[in-house]
Amino acid sequence: MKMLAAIEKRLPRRLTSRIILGVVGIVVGAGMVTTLAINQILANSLRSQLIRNGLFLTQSLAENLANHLVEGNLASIQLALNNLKDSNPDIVYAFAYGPATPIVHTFSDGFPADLLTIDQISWQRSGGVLLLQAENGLIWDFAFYPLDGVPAVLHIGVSEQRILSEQWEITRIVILLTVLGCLLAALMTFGITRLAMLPLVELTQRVRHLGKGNYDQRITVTLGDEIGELGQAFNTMADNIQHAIERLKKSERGYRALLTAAGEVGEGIALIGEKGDKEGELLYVNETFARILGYNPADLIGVNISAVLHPNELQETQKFWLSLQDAAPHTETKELKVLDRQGNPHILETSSTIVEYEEQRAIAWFARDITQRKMQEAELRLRNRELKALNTLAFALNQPYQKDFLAYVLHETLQALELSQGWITVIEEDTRSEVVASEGIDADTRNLLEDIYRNLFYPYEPQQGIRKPVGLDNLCEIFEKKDTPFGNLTVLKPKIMAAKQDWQEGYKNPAITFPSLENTRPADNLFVSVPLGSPQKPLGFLWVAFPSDSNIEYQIGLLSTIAHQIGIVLENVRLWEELQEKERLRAELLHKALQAQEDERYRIARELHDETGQSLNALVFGLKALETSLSTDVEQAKALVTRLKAAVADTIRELQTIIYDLRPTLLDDLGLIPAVRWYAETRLETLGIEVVWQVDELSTRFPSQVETTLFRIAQEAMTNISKYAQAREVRIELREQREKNRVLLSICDDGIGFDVDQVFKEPVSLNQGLGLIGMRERAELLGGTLEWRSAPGQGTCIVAKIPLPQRKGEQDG
Amino acid sequence: MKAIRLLSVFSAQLWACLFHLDGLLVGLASPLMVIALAACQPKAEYTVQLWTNTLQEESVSPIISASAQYQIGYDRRLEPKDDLRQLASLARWLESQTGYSFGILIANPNQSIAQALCEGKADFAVVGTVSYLQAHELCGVRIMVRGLNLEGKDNYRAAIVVSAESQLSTLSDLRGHSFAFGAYTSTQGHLIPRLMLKKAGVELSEFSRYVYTGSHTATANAVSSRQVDAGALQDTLALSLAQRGLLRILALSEPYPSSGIVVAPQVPAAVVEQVQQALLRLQPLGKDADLLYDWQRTEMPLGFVQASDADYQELYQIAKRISLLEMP
Repeated sequence: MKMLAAIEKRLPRRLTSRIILGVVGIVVGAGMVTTLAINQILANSLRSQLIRNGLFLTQSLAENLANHLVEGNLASIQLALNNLKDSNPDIVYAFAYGPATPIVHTFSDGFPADLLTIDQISWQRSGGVLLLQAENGLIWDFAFYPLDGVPAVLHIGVSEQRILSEQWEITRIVILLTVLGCLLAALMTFGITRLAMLPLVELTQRVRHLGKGNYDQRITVTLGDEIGELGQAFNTMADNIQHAIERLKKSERGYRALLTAAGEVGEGIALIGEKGDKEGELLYVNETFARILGYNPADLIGVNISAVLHPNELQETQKFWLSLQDAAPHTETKELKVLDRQGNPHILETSSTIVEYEEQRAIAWFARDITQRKMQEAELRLRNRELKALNTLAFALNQPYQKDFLAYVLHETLQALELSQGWITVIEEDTRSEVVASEGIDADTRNLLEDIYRNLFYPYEPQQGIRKPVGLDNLCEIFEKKDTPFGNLTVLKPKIMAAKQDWQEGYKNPAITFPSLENTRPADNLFVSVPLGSPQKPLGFLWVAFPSDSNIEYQIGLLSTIAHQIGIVLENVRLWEELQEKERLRAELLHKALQAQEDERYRIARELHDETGQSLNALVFGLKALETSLSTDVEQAKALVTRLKAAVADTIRELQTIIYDLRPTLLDDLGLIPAVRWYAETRLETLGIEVVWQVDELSTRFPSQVETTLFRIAQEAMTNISKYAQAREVRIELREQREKNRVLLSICDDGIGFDVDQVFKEPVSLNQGLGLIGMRERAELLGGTLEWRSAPGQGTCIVAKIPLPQRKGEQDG
Repeated sequence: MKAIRLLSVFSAQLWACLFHLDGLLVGLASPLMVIALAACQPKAEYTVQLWTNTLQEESVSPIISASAQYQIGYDRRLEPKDDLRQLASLARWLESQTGYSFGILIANPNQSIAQALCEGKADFAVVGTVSYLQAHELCGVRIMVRGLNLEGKDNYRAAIVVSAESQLSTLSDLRGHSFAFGAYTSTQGHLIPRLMLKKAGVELSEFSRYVYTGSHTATANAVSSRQVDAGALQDTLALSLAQRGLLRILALSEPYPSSGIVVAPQVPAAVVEQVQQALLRLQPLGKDADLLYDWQRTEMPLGFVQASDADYQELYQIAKRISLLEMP
C-alpha cells in the first residue's frame, strides 16, 4: 500500500497527463511483452530449425561418407568436411572417423581432446545433439553413427551465435516500433482527451455554480456517451437537489408549526447553540418555555442558558448535554431545576436531542414544568413519612417502657423525617432540664448541651398557662460564639415561636426557632424544638436540626404530634413511677401498722402487768390481810377495807384509761367533735398547748367510718404535734362543706415544721412520714384527700377532705 | 497558431509523462529485457576447449577397441556401408543368442576373405559360394548354413541379361559383344555365368571385351546404360529389373545351392554348433525382424537351412576347372 501511495504521489496531477501516461505505459508494456514473446518464439524457432538442419546435415553427410569411412578414404572425407565448413559460416568444426579410419577433422591446430570425451557420450547415446559451452560461445554438436553399431561417426559443431544476433536484431526493431507507437499513442490520446474533456469542463463550471446555491443549473446533453450520461446524471442530481431543498423548506415550515403546536399543549421548547460563538445561547424558545420562566420569548433569545438554570445544576447540566454529542442523539428524560424571573425555582422534566437549526448544530431542549407535581409528590412523601413515623411511634409506645426508650424514639423520629441531628431534653420536677437522648451529635457538643440545660429552667407560669424557658438567651449566645458542628449558623435571639398564627392556635406550640426563618436563609441548619406532652406544661423538648430550606411548617406539625405522644408516654412513666413509690410506702405503712399493733399490745400487756396486775396483787395481799384482821382486829379490818375499796377504784380507773385509749367510747357515745375535743384536751392542753377551735356545730352525725377516720387523722396529727412540733398553738378546723358534700378537717400548728422531701427519706423522721402516709391512706380509703404543707420553721398544716355519702333523705326525696 | 499551442501543451504533457515514466522504464524495462533474453538462452550440457587443449599427434584413431571373441568377415556384395550394417546387425543378434561377442572384420580390397579365414583374422564369414570354395580349397573352411531366398528356396540361379532394346536373343549371340561380370569372386555374377557360357560354348576370348564391375548393381547399371551389351546378374535382381522392363533376361541358369555362412577350422566345435543352431533359429521376417538391418536385401532374406560341404561339390568342380580357386 505504501508503494502504491508513493507511485500515486509521483503521478502527474492532470487527468490528461495521467491518461497519456497510462496509454504510453500500455504501449510500452505491450512492446515489452511483444519483444519478450517474439524473442522467445524466434529463439525457439531458430533453435529447433538449427537442430533440425544440423541433424539432417549430419545424417546425410554421414550417409554419404559411410562408404569412405568403411573403406578409409581419408582424402574424400577431409575434402567433404572442408567443403562443409567453408560453405556454412555457422559451422565451427566437423570431424569423422570409421572402423578403419582415423579421425579426420577441420581443426587447423590439432584435434581438441575434449571432443573425444564428447564423442564417448554421443556414442553411448547413439548420436544426437549436445549443447557445448566453448571458448567462443554455445555450440551445438551433432553426431551421427552411420554404421549402426560399428564405430564410425560424423560430428558437426554449429555455433549458437547466429540465433543471438537475430534475436537482438528483432528486439531492436520492436523497441523502435514501441517508441514510435508510444509517440503516436500519446498524440492520439492527447487529442481524444482534449476533445472528451470539453464537456467535462463545462460540467465542472455548472457544478461550481450549483455548489454556490444556483440550483437551476442544467446541462444541454447532446452526446450519448459516458459524458452525456454524466451530464444527464448531473441534471437529475440538480433536479433532485432542487426538489429536496424545496421539501426541506417545507419541512422546516412544518417543523416550526410542530414546535408551535407542541408549545400549545404545554411543551416548552428551547434551542440552544451547541458550539461556536453561540454556544450555550438560547437560539429559539417557544411561548410555553418563556411562560414557565415568566418572560416573553423575545427576552430570552440570545440569553445564555446558565442565566436560567439553577446554580446547583450548571455543572450537571453541562455534563448531560456533552453526553449528547458523544453518544446517543437522544437522551433519557432528566429533571432540571431552573429559576424564573422572580428567582423562584421550577422543576422541569426535560429531554434533549441534537438538531440542525439555521445551519448549525443546536440542542433541542423539551421541557415541561412539573413543579406542582413535584410538590404534590413531596407532600405525599411527607404524608407517608408521617404515617411511618406515627406507626413507628405507636409500635414503640406499645413496647414495655425501657431505659433507652427515648433514644429509640428519637432515632425512629429522625429516620422517619430523614434528619440526622436531634436531642431530647426532659424537665425534671424541679423545672431543671436534662439531656436524656441525642443523635448525630458528638460527645463535646453533648457536654456543651448538658451544660446549657443544667442552667435552663422552665418555671411554670400559671398566669400564662405555659412554661417559659429561662436562660435560653445563653443558649443562643453560646451558639453564636461557638463554631458549632451544626454548620455556619447565623443565629439571632430565639423567641417563643409566634411567627405563624396557625401554629400557635393549632398546637399552642412554644417551639423555639429563629427570626431568620422569616427573612432569608442565613443558616445551613435550623434548630427547632417541640414540647413533649402538653404544650402548656411540657415534660421536655424534642430538638431536631432541619436543613434550612426544608418545609419546616409541616414538619413541625408532625414533630408536635410525635412529641405529644412521647409526652403521654413520659406522663405515663411518671405516673407509673409515682404508683411504684406509693406501693412502696404502703408496704412500709403496713409494716408500721403491724409494728404499732404489736407495740400497742405490748404496752397494754405491760400496763396490765405493771399497773392493773400490781394493783390486783396488792388487792390480793390486802384481802389476805383483811382476812387475818377480821378475826383479830375489826377496826384495822375496817380501815383495810376502806383502803382496799380505794385501791379497787384506782384499778378500775386504770383499766378504764387503758380501755379508753384503745377506743374512746366518747366517739361512739357523743360523736366526733366531743371525741376530738376530749383528745385535744387530754393530749395537747395537758402539755400547755393552746387549742383554737374553728368548729361548726354539726347538725347530724356522720357515718361511723367517716367519724372514725377523721378522729384517727386528728389523733395522729395531734400525737405528731405533741411529739415533734414544739408548737404553742394549734388551730383545729372541722366543718361540713355541704355544697361539696364533704367534711373538711384542718389541723395547723405554729411549730418547727419539717422538710417535706426529707421526711420520707431520712430514717429518723420516717415514723413521722409514715404517719402522714397513714393519714392519707385513711382519707383516700374513703375517696378523700389529705394534703400537708410544711417547711422548716413555718409550722405544719394537715388538710383532710372526706366526701360524704349521699344522704338517705335526699336519696328518698 | 492554435496547432502550435496544442503541440506545446502536448509536448509539455508528454514530457511530464516521460519524466514520470523514466524511472519506471529504466527501472523495470531494462532488467526485464535482459532477463527475458537470458531466459531464452539454453543451458550448455558440457564445457569444452576447442582451441587450447589439442592432441599433438597429427592422426588420431578413435579409442574404440575391437576386442570381440570372434570376428566375422564377409564378402562385399552391396555398398560397403550396407554390407557392414547388415553384418553388424547379425553380429548383435548372434551376441544376444549365444552370449559370445562378435566383431566385424572390415572387408579389405587387398585381402580376400578366404585368406583372412585361413590366417585366423576371421572366424566366421558371410560369403558367396566362390569365396567359400576358395577358403575350403585353401584351408578346409566348412559351410554351416546356407540362406533361403525370398521365395523360400535354399538355392539360386544366375541370369544373363541384355538391355531391353537389345537385339541379342541367345547366349551364342554374345560372341563379339562386350560382357560384364560382377565381382570376380561372385557366384551369381561370375561362377555360374561362366558355367552357363561354357555350356553354351562361349569362351571369354570370344567377347569383344569383358569387365568385372565388382557388384550386381554396377553390372545392371552397365547393361542398362549400354556400356556393355550383356551382363551376368543374380536371378532375383534380374527378374525384378526385367519385370519393370529395364532389362531383358537372355538366359537363366539351373539352381545351385545358395551361399551361406562358413566357419574357420580353428573355431571350437561347440562354438560352431552353438552358432549354427542359433542361425537356424533366425526368423528375419518374424520376431527377429527388428534387430536386423535391411535384411531382405541379403542373400538369405528368409533365414537359413543347414548346409554341408557336399552340397557344393558340383560347383566346386566347376570352379576348380575354371581356375577360380587359385588364389591370386
